[in-house]
Amino acid sequence: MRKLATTLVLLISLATMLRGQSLSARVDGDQLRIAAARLHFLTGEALSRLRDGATVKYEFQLTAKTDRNGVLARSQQEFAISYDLWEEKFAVTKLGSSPRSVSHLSAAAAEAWCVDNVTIPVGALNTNQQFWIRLEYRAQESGASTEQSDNSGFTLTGLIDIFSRRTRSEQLHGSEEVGPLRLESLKRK
Amino acid sequence: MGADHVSCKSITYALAAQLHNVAGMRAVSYLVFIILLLLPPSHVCAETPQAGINARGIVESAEISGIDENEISENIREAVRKLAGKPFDQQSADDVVARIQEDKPEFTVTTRLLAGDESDRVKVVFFLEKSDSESGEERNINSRYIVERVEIEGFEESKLSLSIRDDLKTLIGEKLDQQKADEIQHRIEDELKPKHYVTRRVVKGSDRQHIVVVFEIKNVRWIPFMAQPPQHILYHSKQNFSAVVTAPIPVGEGTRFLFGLSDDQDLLIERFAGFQLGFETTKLATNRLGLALRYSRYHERWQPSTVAAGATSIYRERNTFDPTITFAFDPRLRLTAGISTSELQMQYPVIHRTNANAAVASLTFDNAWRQSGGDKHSVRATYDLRAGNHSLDSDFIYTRQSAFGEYVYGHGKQQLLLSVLAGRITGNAPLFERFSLGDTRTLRGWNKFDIAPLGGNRVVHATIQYGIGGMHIGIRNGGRHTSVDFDFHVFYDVGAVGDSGSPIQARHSVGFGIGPADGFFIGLGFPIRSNRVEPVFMTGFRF
Repeated sequence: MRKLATTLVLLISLATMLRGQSLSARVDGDQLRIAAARLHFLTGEALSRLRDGATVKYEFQLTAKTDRNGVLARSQQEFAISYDLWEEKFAVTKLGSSPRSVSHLSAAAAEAWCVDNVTIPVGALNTNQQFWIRLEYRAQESGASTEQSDNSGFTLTGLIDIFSRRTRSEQLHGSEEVGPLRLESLKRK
Repeated sequence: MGADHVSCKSITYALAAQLHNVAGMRAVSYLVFIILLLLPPSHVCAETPQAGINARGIVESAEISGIDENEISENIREAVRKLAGKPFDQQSADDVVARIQEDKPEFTVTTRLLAGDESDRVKVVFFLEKSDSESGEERNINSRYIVERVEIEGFEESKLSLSIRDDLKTLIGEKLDQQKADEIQHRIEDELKPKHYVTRRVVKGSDRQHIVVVFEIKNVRWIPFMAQPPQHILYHSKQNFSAVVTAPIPVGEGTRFLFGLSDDQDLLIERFAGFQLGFETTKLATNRLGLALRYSRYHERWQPSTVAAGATSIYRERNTFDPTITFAFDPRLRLTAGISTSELQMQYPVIHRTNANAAVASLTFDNAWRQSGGDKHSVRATYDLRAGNHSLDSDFIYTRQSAFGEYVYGHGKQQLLLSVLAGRITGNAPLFERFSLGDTRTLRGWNKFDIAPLGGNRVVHATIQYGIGGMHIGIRNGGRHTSVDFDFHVFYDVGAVGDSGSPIQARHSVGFGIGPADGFFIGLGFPIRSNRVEPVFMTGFRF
């Protein structure tokens, strides 16, 4: 029984450690790209809006930092996401100077496409320097009226929202961080 | 994602079940089951992140769509053709997009990736759209479908104005124009406000080429929930921490119980600590009538300067019960009336109990609207009356009147806020009724205990605040809600508080900060005075 308990603790610890590595970085040509297999932002109110045929705009920010304060490089990217009612698949448009879009994606694939398209130039990072990568995302309010459901009171979710929101309608946001990393030790593609 | 998720879970359960069936493997099956549940789906299912489309695959075909290819220069067409047969390269695709856009500036070009015939293949389409069509921000995959019909739910369509009904008809038979649908939604809202609000959804039509646009018209809750005292967690460098938090327990639509804790010195000249309980319903048989029952029990602490200024007025405990009813004339204007009964444990000359019972009434108006040009306006005004009298068995006989007005104008990201407060007390009022200035909302930069440690029976205050931010006019919990969010702002406060018959001095302060009126904020206020200027730091959040 004791052996079983020990094994259980070890396996749970191992699984927890594996869960902790949620963000991974790689070098792709002259760009640093990231992948976040467990980052799911097409959820909750934003997903409801998408399933109602609305466009939901997401803002991503990728930051490379030396530590908690020193910013080495930062890039921002916006995406407009919509949900094809008939195909029941997602479509994503990368906004900005060279827009491009992709359609017929599952939710996970749409999320992965967005994350994959937020990059930092490798040139901004020193080969030997240790750094951390932080990915932040935020769903923006729709142009039309939005309905929000809460009870205007003290809830943990409410507290988190209040601490990090810009407006009340920007309910969906989050971040992931990974590090320390070294450019030379990252997987190259 | 749903299907993938189900599939992963199925594998997890199936594997665990198989092990479970083998004699002697039950414990192992539990372990495997736990591990599989804990592991991320990608470890279990090896799910391809971009199912169906391999963004690193070999380009099976590359073509230009949305325009006759012959209208594109041969060089560009050649560049497009050269993409085929090679692994997809985003940079090369971006270069092509840039060249097409240079060649055809009247078009917006996007790269679309489609699944190839095999899993390691991808099709590339450079899709050209006229620039004056749907903007990138509003681009929606459903815009390729034709609107079969438009439905109005929750309201009789015939009661909408003819021009709106005509506009609704223009959507039918055309591809869905999100911008136009947004405009119509705003127009319906403008026409039906303040009693209704509108949500929009798009649903499948009768065949795969068609969709249906549904405008759902809902009734606005006429009476909002009111957490009393207002909730916040604050720090003021002269007055330390203050907190009032209330947890709502919803019991059906428009009804809730409240339980809260307080330890606060920001609202009054006393620091009150204790708990509050409440019951609120915003619909008592009709939308127009609401009921609130609030009870609080607080222990008081006082600043030495307050004790020195009025030792015989201070009390150690305050138990209050406030039953009120609210009548809404419409969602913008409501009248609240009731009584407020407080039992005070007075500290001096000997500990004894007194009653501070008052009839209370308030008239509140709030409205927010946006103009066609995008400018937004918000107006709030409240008149409060509290009267302690013998008929309510009160030991304090007084009349307290106050009026508050606030106007916010939003133009793009710029916002200007103007607010005015004025109040007057006649008779002998308990200390919790007396006015004070110099906290996180008024005369920011001053300490209220330096201005009037015992408060005053006269007050006047005004604020001008300019900043960058945004105003959101929408619906929250079924009720109208306007939030005015400031990112960076500067402010000027002016005010005076004191007792009638004694000289009252106007005080000024300026400062700056970040954060909205009802969210996380940081501010620094500077009192304007001839002697030492010591800034006051304020931070916290309001619910």
